[in-house]
Amino acid sequence: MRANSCLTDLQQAAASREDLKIKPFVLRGTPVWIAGLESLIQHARTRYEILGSLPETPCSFEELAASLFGEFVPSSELLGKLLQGKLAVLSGDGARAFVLESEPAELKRAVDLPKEETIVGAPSAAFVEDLNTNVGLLRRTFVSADLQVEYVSLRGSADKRIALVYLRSEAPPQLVNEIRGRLSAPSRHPVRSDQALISLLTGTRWQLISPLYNTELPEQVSDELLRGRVALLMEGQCTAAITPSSIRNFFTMFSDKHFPYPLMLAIRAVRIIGLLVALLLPGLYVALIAVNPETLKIELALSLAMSRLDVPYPAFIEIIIMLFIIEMVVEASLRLPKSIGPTITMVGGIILGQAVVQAQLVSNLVIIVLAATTISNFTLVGFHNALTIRFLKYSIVCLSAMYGIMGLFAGLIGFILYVSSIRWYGIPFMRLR
Amino acid sequence: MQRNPSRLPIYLFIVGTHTGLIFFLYAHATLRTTAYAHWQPAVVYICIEALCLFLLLAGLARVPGKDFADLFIPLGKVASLLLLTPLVAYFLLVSLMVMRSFAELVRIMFVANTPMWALLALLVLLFMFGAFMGGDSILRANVVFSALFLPVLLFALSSCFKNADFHYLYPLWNSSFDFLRKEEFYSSMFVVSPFLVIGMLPSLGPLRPRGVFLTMLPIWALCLIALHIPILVFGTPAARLLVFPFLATMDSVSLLWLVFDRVTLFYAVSIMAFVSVHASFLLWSIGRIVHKRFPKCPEKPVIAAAAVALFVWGLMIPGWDWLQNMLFWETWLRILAVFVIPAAVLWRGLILSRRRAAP
Repeated sequence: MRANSCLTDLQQAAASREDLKIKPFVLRGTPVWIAGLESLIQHARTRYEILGSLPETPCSFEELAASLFGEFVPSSELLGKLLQGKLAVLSGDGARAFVLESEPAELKRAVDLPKEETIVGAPSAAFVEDLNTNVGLLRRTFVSADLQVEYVSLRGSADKRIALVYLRSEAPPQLVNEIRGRLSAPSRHPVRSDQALISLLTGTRWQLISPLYNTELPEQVSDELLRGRVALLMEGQCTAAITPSSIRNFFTMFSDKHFPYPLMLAIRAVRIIGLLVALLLPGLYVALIAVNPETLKIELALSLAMSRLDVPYPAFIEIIIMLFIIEMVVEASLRLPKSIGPTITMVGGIILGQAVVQAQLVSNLVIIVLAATTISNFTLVGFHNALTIRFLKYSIVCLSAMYGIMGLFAGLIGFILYVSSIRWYGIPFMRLR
Repeated sequence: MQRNPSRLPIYLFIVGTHTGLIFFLYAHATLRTTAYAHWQPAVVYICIEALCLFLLLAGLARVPGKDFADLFIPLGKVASLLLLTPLVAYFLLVSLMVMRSFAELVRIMFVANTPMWALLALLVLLFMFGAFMGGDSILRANVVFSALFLPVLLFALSSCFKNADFHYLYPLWNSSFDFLRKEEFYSSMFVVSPFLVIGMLPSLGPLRPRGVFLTMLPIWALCLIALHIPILVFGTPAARLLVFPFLATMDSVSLLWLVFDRVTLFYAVSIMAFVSVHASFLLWSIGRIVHKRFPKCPEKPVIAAAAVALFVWGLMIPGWDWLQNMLFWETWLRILAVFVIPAAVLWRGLILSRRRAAP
């Protein structure tokens, strides 16, 4: 090993990383080099704290390391530690180095209200991007020695950490082992998103339903942990991913339990009906208008026919056009700045509600069907789940256009069969308990 | 966290497979066996089913976790083929009949202009999809179907009582028992066959014979009710003429407050769910049995081949009359499947349990 390998390596690294600062310093009579990324560390405060925690007498390099709780690392790992926001202290000759915790720069968001899952009358602290804060939030919500936290470093992605959280008494050991094993398997893609995480966990990217149920509410996570599931908290993600997901996650939230039991049942029934409406209503419209008008009462069939009198194309095209427009409105309003949001909803509302009908491009009824479908879609719990249903309704619309009512229900039966066949880690997705 | 697996899916599955037949082909099949007092053949069917079910369950209970294939394959090449081939053929025939009759019903009800191949393609794809998903998935899906469609079906059925005239029940007694001498009685015996699927259930979950029998009680009651609904509405002579007595009965109901013109709609979609469960499970059973007998044949290609066979066969059947003729031709196969298979299961069960008792 070269005498000053740590120092020269760092200096070479600093050439292309100008926020990496290496400065000479004298600590209690010992000349040292202090290195750290100024983008991640508050240098002045860190130095102040270091000096405060040292004894007043002169110290050797080893004594410095001991009194600062430093961890000696080889030259090869030094840069990685610095990138995690640690501070390095190098000996005067640059041959040895230890790292220690530093005062981090203000890069973290404070714990805040949930952004996606607004809930009524329940504790509402939500996860943030920092992993330690999130684990802390969980520990605060669920005070129990039973709560296990394991950090798993994902292979193939630079120092991305995932916290595996579960209850020892509830989670089946084989489930925890299976998930731990899959997480530590080498991944083809760097795991930066849920998509990569899903393909790591299940080996496929083509499932329509996710094995993860994402929530930003610690209270929800603790409820799921009590049901024997495992929560994955990924560094840099402000949601916890609960796995394996289940059909319950489409309809139920823990916060429902803050209401009296009958009301909770009623709320959940609304969500189940919402799922059926969101999935079936556009298809039902196409089936009733285009293929099976005779199943309706004659008065109703006639009034429907009247409303479509001037519409120049078949019901299938009509509803597909309008469904696409509403998808675009939803998609656009997701990412719009708050100041422009109302504009798009107003324009969208006018286009969809009034102008299109007055121009006789679509019938009145389509607007009603569309509104009901869109609203009912968002009664479902979880944005991912709503997205699945949003996507699947198109296949049912197509089947309805071909086979009418029979196609509609063939689609529903197929959907139920598909959902029933899903298993995560050998546990069926379709289970109520 | 490991809990005992619930038996509810299995019981609901037994209800589901029976429902698919009871409210679909049962009434017509039983009505054509005699001129009046139809409860007599119905009760005889129930007794036959109860007896065969008893044999089957008595056999299965002695060797928990074993299905038809597991029981018969150790008998050797020839014997296992002799027992399993008719069973597979019978499963295929029942799926064919159910599928083809349902296509006929849908054509009458919903899509008169759609070509038969398109209808059969949809049904076959649906059944094949279900079979690919596997037996336990079908069982789970059936729980959802039961929750969604059983209430709808019961609503549609109860609405029929609006037009019922209970005088049509008479005469109650037919002392000649002429149905026993009629070929129709034996060709209609497929209505008791759904109990055979129970023989494929042990690999999916534990069976409790008493639970299965208790599940059958409401099913048998439903059989009697289902049979009498068309009679109560139309009278025996008229009901006997109808190909789909249920459909006609439902068509006769008009509910003012309903958005839809006919309650038939609800009837047909509910039947579709249970028919799919039944046929998918039969296809899956075929795949399972063939795979166990010939381990080199993977399940999915066998299921796909069976589905293609169903499709082609279904297309070759020109119409309803031909379907009825087919019922006559396969009477022997049916008697073999309904009587011989349960007896063979009991025999195997007795032998295996005795062998285990005396090591």
